[in-house]
Amino acid sequence: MSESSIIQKKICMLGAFAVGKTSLVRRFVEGRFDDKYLSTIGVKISRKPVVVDGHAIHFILWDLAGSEEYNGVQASYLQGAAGGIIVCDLTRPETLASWARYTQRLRQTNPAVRVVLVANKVDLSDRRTISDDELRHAAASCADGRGVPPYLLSSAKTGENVEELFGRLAEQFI
Amino acid sequence: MVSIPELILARHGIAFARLDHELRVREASSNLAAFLEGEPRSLIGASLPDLWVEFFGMEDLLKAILQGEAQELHLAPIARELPTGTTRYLSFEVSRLEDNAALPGLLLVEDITPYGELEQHLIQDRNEMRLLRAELVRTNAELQRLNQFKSTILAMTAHDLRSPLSALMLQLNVLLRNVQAGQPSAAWLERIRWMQYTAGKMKNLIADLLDLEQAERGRLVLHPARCDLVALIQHLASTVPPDAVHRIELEVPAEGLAIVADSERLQQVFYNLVENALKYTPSNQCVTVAIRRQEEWALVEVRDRGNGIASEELPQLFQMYYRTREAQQGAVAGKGLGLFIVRTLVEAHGGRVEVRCELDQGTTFSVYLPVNGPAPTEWSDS
Repeated sequence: MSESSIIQKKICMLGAFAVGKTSLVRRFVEGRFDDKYLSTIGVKISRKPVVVDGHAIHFILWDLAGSEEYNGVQASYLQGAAGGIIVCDLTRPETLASWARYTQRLRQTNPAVRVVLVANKVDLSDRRTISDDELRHAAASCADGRGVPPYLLSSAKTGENVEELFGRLAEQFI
Repeated sequence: MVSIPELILARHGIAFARLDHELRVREASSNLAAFLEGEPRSLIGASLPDLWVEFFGMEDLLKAILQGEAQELHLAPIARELPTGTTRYLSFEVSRLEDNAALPGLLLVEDITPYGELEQHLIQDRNEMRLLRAELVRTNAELQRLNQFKSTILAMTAHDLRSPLSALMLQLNVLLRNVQAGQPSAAWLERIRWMQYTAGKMKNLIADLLDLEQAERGRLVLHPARCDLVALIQHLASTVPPDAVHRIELEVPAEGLAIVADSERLQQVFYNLVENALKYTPSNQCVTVAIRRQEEWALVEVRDRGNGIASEELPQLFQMYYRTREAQQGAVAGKGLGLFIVRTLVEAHGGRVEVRCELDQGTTFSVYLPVNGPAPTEWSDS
């Protein structure tokens, strides 16, 4: 594959605090999981190359803080984002509202941005409080001219659907 | 030679660069290279987004800043994980210098690790407190729900056990007087049957309450064993009120039907269904219990001759505490728990319950049970 065919895309990880954004990035980039919760402040940037249908894409992953202290500065962080992965926590119903809120914010800054919605911590099935119907409804509220964004249930802990969610985003760039 | 301003900036962990209109570095402080990631590179002549990935995708915005068409850009804190496992926090700021048309851009890079670490600790503590508080709210709500449930159970137990217990004591007193009066023992039989029925009713009520409590906690445990479904139903038909025994019609295979199930729990299931059917069927008509095998399923149908149930009520029929309009209007006693328990126990066996009815044509409950018993996981954790 020639160097010239490699494309770079800035991807923003968004969602409320402690939903597992950093863990999803760590699982995807480093293939590991750490049970300890460590709040992200500001932004942490990682890189990961992926190949989809013979096309190489270099993801530049912006893992953004979920705390509201950073909502003010996130507008500049979102500049130039080609994609967004918006994460909620299946065990905390109040985090689902972030799907629509962050989708809207991303599109305000970057109208052509591609979005994948993620419901994380599917491994904690006995503590799950968000139903399939609620996910479907929340995803539908994020629809635009291209339709309803894809959404997946994932687990950074077990790795379930982690490769898939980044793959679903990469497919939209080909 | 390093200038005095540069020395002061370096002392405070700040580096700078001056940029041309194309975002290329044209001048830089000697400490700027320390803020690059990866291999050392030449700074002079390099483009800002090529030097720092933080600026990738922001080229248009940066050029607009240098042309005075946008406000300065401030990215902070940027967290960088170091090979040592520690985190370094940086601040990037790009602004326009009004007095230099050739080099209009100024980049300031600052190491803000002490502030970043402090802020990280503060936010970490606060987020953990928030998570704990949310957990406490959830636990509190669950405790309140359980408390309410216990109160309901207690009230029901007190109310529903008192009536049959009073009836039992009355029968015992009459029997005792008859025995003391020297009445022949053949006359005792009817009273003993009533006492047996009343004691059985209390036993079923207690079993229902215990199962309800176990199901609520997700700890319903089955004890499956091979049993004959026909014998089980025939025995059940003999435990209904003595004046209703002749109102039970059985349509069962003569050779019996062996299944693997928790026979005590199945007694509860069919006791609830048959008792319900008797309540809703006029006293001069019969209730039918039919058993047959359908491939790997044992099918038991309990048909009443009542008024039927409105179709809009059917979806709620198996919900806890749900009572039909007819029941609420006082014609039929009950707490709306029997069918919830029926469904819970049948599903714990890996089976299902269906209901069909037409107004004024009676109601039929169909219970499907796997002949070979519940899957192993359903035995212990239904």
